[in-house]
Amino acid sequence: MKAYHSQIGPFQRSKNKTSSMMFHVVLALLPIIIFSFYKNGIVPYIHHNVGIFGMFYPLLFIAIPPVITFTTEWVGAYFFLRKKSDNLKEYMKNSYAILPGLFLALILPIHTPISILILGSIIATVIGKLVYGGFGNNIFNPALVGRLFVITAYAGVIASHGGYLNPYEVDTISKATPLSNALSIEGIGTYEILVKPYGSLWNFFIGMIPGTVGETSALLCIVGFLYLTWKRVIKWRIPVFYIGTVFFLTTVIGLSNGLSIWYPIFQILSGGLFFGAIFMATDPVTSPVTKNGQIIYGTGLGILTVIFRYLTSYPEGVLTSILTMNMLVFIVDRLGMQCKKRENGLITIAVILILFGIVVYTINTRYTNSGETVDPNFVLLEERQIGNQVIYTVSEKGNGGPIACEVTIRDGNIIKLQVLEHNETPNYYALVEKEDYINILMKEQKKLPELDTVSGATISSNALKKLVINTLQEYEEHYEK
Amino acid sequence: MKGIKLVQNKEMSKDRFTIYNKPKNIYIPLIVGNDIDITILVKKGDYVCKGEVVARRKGFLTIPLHSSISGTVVGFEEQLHHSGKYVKCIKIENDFKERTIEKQEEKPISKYSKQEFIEIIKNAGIIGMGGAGFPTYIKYQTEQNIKTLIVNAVECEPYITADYTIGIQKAEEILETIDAILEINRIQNAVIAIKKNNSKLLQAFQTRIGTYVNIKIVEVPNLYPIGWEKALVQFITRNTYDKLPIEIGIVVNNISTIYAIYQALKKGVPLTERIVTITGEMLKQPTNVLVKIGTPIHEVIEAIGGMKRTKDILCIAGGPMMGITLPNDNVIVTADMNAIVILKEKEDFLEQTCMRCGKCVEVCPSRIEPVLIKDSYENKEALLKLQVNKCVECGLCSYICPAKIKVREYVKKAKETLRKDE
Repeated sequence: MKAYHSQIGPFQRSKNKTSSMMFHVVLALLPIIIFSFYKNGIVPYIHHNVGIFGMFYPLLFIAIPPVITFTTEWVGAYFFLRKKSDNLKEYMKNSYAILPGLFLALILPIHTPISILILGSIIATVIGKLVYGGFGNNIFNPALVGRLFVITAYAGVIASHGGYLNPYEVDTISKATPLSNALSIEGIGTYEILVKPYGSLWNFFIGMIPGTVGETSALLCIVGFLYLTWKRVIKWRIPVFYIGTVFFLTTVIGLSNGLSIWYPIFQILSGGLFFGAIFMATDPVTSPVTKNGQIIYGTGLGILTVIFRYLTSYPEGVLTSILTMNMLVFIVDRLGMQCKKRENGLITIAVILILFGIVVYTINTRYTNSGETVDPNFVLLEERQIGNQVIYTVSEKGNGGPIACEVTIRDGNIIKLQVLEHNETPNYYALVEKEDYINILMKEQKKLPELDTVSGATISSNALKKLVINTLQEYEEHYEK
Repeated sequence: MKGIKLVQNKEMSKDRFTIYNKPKNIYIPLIVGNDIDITILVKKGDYVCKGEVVARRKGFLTIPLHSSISGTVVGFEEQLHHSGKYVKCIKIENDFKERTIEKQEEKPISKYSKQEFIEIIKNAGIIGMGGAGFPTYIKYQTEQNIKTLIVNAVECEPYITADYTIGIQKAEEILETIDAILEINRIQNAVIAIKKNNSKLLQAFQTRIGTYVNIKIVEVPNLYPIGWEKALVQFITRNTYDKLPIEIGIVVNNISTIYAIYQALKKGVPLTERIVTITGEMLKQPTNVLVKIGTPIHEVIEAIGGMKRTKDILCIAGGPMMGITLPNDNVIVTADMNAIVILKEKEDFLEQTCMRCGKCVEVCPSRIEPVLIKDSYENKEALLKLQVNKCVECGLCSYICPAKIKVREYVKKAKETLRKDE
């Protein structure tokens, strides 16, 4: 009797391939890369801010990390994972090592020095991927791990190289990213303060605003989203619920502060939300597999981002939210399974709605209607009156803790401003000192709300600014009436 | 409705039909469904008529097995069953006389009581011919009120056209039988489920349905696995059940089973033959064949023209989705085997790392999480929460997987883990 081979079915398979899915992702990123070349290369060249090398620099910037992540993975797989020759080749073929590098390039500011870029790529591969056992096993999005490292360790360096602004943007905008601008102002802001400096919301939509290399264009991200959803590559529920949640919450916050529809649109178009939601949060390895889990995950990301934006001193929040939710994927999937039962689903929806309520309430109590703020970080330590002078010892929360100052006021004017104690990162604080911000504050004390913060040392300089504003307010309340 | 549109490949055997009724020997496998606890009622040297009971399954689901020819019992042999196992069979040598026990008279098929009806289909050895092999009479032997009879003519597996063939040929008889079943069992109505792209089969029924007011034809989408009982019931009634459709007053019968019931009611003939689709691109002439139960398939394959080649092929019992490969084509026809598919052997896919894209979760018609089951297929505690036993092994998770992981096999192993030390 003839013997046939045995195989395991099904004997009909779909055409899906991991490699083609990854290819589609790269294809969806292509317009974003081209746009980045335009915005960070061609436009500065036209404005004569950079030479011919500078024009092509963005392409180099985007090309380096993938090469580094690929090489690192190759070496790492050889030593850490102990893959040998054939095995190694097979592993490299299926580990898509260039993608974390590509993503990393797109979520860093163009002024990141190349050395830091390379270091970040290595960290992304080693800490983000290899220590977990390589592709498919990592808990955190490798590119975000790399970025977290770069931003925490080298923010000052990046800022001193120019931060998030392009040379031509420095001329016209002279402020940092829209959200760090939003954080630096008092109250919730107005269209004139939040959007006007950057032109219009149209600029936000197409991406002609300061930001990282690839995150600014919501339009191209949406194009990528539609393409990847059509090709069934990404978990579409995550970005839809993520952006939807941010939109909903900021609409409510905006409306309760008398701001119309432009406000939530400004919020969703800022801070690289579209890029993060569509490309980073949907990384298959580090996101939930259950359908309900993906909905919960997206909603959770939305809530976290809003919390980060309004209630912490970190203006962006998208990438931090994703890293935070990465940790919870296992639990979210569990929850997603439970939610197949109707009653559990309803309970989850109720919990989410309650969370929405808490978040909106907390944020609204902080930002009052008039635009004035009761600043919880401002502390009046001491108040002395000597003749017609009032000497305040006050503190305001900075980046590294409270900044304590002595402020002397006479006839409503600050005549002396002295920093007594601070714990700011030296790199940042050096920028404050370099710009002689203390003297600027004294000079401009009548028009403080409009005063710019120090680019690259936003948090420290803003704390000083707030400190002065609050002290003047304190003086007004007790001595001017 | 969840499901996937598959490449059908049904054209090669569609509307092709032949009869093979001259096996030299037949082998009655002593197995029903998965159960091999069967009493043998004949011994070597006995002469048996066509339709004579030669064995009987024991226990609650008792059902007789019949000889499909007249001839002499020459012994007992192990033969290949379509489950891939070797099973003890009763070997009967054909005398080609087709002698029956008694001359059967034709009767009007609706003139039976419910009890008589159940006795008849039980004695005729009728089991579900769609693949489950569950005794049909059990479905009717219920205290519960049956509201609807669903006749499953969906046949959603690619390649297979056996149900299609019987539907085209016997539409009249099938309608008559459904009507009789409704009357005997006091069932309100019946639904015949046919794929909407199967226009010829739809037409065969639509042109004849005129006077049968209680029978309705429902077109179902061309999706796999909508022919699966639970999916079909849900599609038609918008209602779901836990274990058996009777919980919500539904009985589902395969269209081939209905024809077997017709033969039993009308002529008193037990289930001794069926249509098997023998197809696949490695056959010279794919076709549907009416064969006697117990016939070795390789004889039939020879009779219809043979294979294009005998090397580097896969011989699959059942369809390409749920079927399994057989070590050779000497497999014995049983009532619940609907197809043999001969395919070109391709290199097996290399399994790559799972990147957790969630496609298997997305596609699963049982709404379980194959990837999570795969993660902990040896961890009994974790598996209990994952509702592993809801899996119908339709194979869509393996079908869809971009990393070419045989996800279904992990789920099967998980079921094994749960079964262990129970």
